[in-house]
Amino acid sequence: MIQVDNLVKRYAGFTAVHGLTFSVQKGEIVGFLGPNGAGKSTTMRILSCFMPASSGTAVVAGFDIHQQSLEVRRRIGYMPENVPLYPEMRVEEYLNFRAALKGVPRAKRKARVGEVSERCGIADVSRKIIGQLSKGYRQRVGLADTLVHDPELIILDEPTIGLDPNQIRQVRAMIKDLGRTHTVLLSTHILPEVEMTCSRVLIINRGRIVASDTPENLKRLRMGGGETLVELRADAAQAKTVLAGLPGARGADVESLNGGWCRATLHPQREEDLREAAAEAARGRGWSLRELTRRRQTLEDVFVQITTEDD
Amino acid sequence: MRNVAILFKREMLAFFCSPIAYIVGVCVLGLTGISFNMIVVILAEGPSDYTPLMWFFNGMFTWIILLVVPPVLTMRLFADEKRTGTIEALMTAPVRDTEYVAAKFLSGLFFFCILWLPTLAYVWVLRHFSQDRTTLDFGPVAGGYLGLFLMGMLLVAIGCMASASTRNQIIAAVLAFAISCALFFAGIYFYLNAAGGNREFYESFSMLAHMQDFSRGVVEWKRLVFYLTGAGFFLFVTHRIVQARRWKT
Ligand SMILES: Nc1ncnc2c1ncn2[C@@H]1O[C@H](COP(=O)(O)OP(=O)(O)O)[C@@H](O)[C@H]1O
Ligand SMILES: [Mg+2]
Repeated sequence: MIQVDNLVKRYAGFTAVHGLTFSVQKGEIVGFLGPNGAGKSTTMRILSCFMPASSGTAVVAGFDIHQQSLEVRRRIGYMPENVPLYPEMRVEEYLNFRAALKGVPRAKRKARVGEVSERCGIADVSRKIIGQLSKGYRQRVGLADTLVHDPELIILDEPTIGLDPNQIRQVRAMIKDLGRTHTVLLSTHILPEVEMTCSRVLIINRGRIVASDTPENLKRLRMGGGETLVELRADAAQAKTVLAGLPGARGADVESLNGGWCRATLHPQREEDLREAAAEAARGRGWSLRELTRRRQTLEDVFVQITTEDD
Repeated sequence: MRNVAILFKREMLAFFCSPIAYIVGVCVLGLTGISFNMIVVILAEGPSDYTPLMWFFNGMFTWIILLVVPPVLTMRLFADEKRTGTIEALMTAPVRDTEYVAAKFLSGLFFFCILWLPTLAYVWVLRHFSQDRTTLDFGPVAGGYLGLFLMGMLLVAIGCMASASTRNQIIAAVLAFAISCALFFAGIYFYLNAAGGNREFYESFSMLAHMQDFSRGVVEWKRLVFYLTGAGFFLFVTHRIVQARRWKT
């Protein structure tokens, strides 16, 4: 659905995107994840034919973005960051206008607009003036607009930015729902979002893709990880030698606490669960144990790790 | 071209929703009203060398409207789409840059024309109540309105160019006003100071001189060509500016 090859975008004297290469298959929900200024919006603007790349090519929905931009634009639904809308128009008017522009035949327009309004939960505000809608509703109007011509591919730039937690949940649910019938590329700088909505993540930092995988795989791959945390009453140095010597352990950091306690962080060699071994070791030496947990790594750890790695 | 109609319709809606359009409308009504009143007073004083149409179409108030109104009508057209970012939604829909420029220009020109509609009532009143039916012949009336239309075309095109070149409406209006004034006053200046032989040449770009001809019912081909190519030139530049976004850098 999207085939990007060595895409570069330079703004006056500044390179925002350095040779991106990736692809998105039909039916995927791909999350474009990166900190602010990573080049997410820039890439999406290029893919949706708002502006050309400085070099490199991309094929979107089967057409070249530079040579056949009208064909590409007929087949995508793009929602820009911050969802720009015409404030003086009524919701229904706006969606009709957009449907007409995107080539929905006059006879089908009313039905299509009704359908997407229903789907995006804005049927009850269709007579309202857009300028008077809340941010959450405007976001949904934007979503409805991207869907109105039933595009093959939906590109959403930060679809949940500026929403309150409730609205965020609703919009995410809508995106998941969309993903059942459409190919979706969305960008975000919020991690839980991709974990929740996406089937694949592309992590982008300073204009380069630094990781690309499913959220689960990324977590697993990057688990430096799955460390085990142990608090026991023992001599720190002794605890360190014992714990580091456990089978499957790569090492242990131990710090002393008050009252003869110490806290150890056990690093597994790969993904071993060291809890049982640690408990056995403590029992064997008669050490009291007051905490034993395995840290679960979130995508956030991965994100921070990946995007700060090459500093 | 279907897209032009769709975009044009939206622009008209935007015009009729904007307070500026109404303020401009009221001002134009007021100014043309004063102008009309002065003509009636002059007519009441007895015969003069100038016809009422010459007073009207070449009067100060008409020129104020011509120089001020197009910049105000057009300032929003392109600048606001950029400021609010709606340009991004618009240009990622299957719309050509030419269609975008054409719709913006036509809507500005159309609204400009609507503003002059009420003045037809003055024409009717003068025709109806003056004893000398020849004071308002069809030719000069048509010529005068054609002149307004042609100049409107050029000035709206200038406004479009100014609006396309910035995201700030005020800057757009000031820029368009400055260019329009430069054109107008340069035309007068050269026309008045031109030595004999060059007069015709300088006349060819003096809007004031053109309007004198138009309001006498004299319409020459070269005038039509001047305004059409002038508007065409500024629209071409506008299109280039809009397209600059698509240049690879
Ligand atoms: N029109 C522009 N002119 C110059 N620099 C820009 C422009 N748009 C974005 N940038 C720069 O390009 C980088 C990437 O921006 P962007 O793609 O918007 O990032 P993101 O959407 O990931 O936050 C940023 O450093 C930004 O300042
Ligand atoms: Mg962005």
